[in-house]
Amino acid sequence: MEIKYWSDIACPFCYIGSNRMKRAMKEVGIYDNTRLEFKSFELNPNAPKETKESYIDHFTQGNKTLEEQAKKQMAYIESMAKDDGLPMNINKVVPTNTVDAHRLIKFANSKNDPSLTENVIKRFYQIYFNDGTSIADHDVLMKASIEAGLDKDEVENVLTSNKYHQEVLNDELEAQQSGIQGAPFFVINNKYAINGAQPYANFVAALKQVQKEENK
Amino acid sequence: MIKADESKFKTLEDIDTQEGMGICGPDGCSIAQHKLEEKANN
Repeated sequence: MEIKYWSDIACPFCYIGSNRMKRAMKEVGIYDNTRLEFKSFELNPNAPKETKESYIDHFTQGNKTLEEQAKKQMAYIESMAKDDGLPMNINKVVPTNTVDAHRLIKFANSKNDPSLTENVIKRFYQIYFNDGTSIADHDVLMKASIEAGLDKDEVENVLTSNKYHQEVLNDELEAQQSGIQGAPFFVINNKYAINGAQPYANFVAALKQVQKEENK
Repeated sequence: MIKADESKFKTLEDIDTQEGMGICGPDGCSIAQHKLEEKANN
């Protein structure tokens, strides 16, 4: 089986949904022999590199009615993450640009070591949703990348260049051409789609169904 | 609701994989309204 999913580090449902997918893959016994590919989907490619805005301000632009609704949504998202054992503190989120994080994920992926790529992705989600630091800050990205297992000099080489940006854009073009307008978006065997952070049971059921079809 | 181009990807039978309960796009994130109501009622 082959699974790819479009995702952004700034997307809470991507964090939750991809974690559910990985758990489901383990439950049905395919995690170790299935390729799970992260595809870039920047929610806001124009997000600033630095900001003093809160995550809620970022989405509501000071609209009080929207703010109340957004607060309810954020509380719900945090409770979903907590129920799944994922640390999340949305009040601490610094809503900055994620393109450099995407480029580093592409760089990690070039190493052909899925566990290394997973470590990088996991660490970047933690930065964004729990650490209260900026995912656009090169010092933050450097420290996290080294912690995840990447080489310091190679990470510096990526961060001080435009390397892997084209790969990020290619993923986004593929999403656009496939009619994908939101994330997370999972595609199994280039054929079946799972849209959004579905309940865990749906991921398990979907994988079992595809497995059954493969074994026919 | 956000949908993929159905000519390209299929929905799995008997599994609601098109009505994501939580999804994010350029304008923010959305949650199925009934889920928020369930939460408020608990």
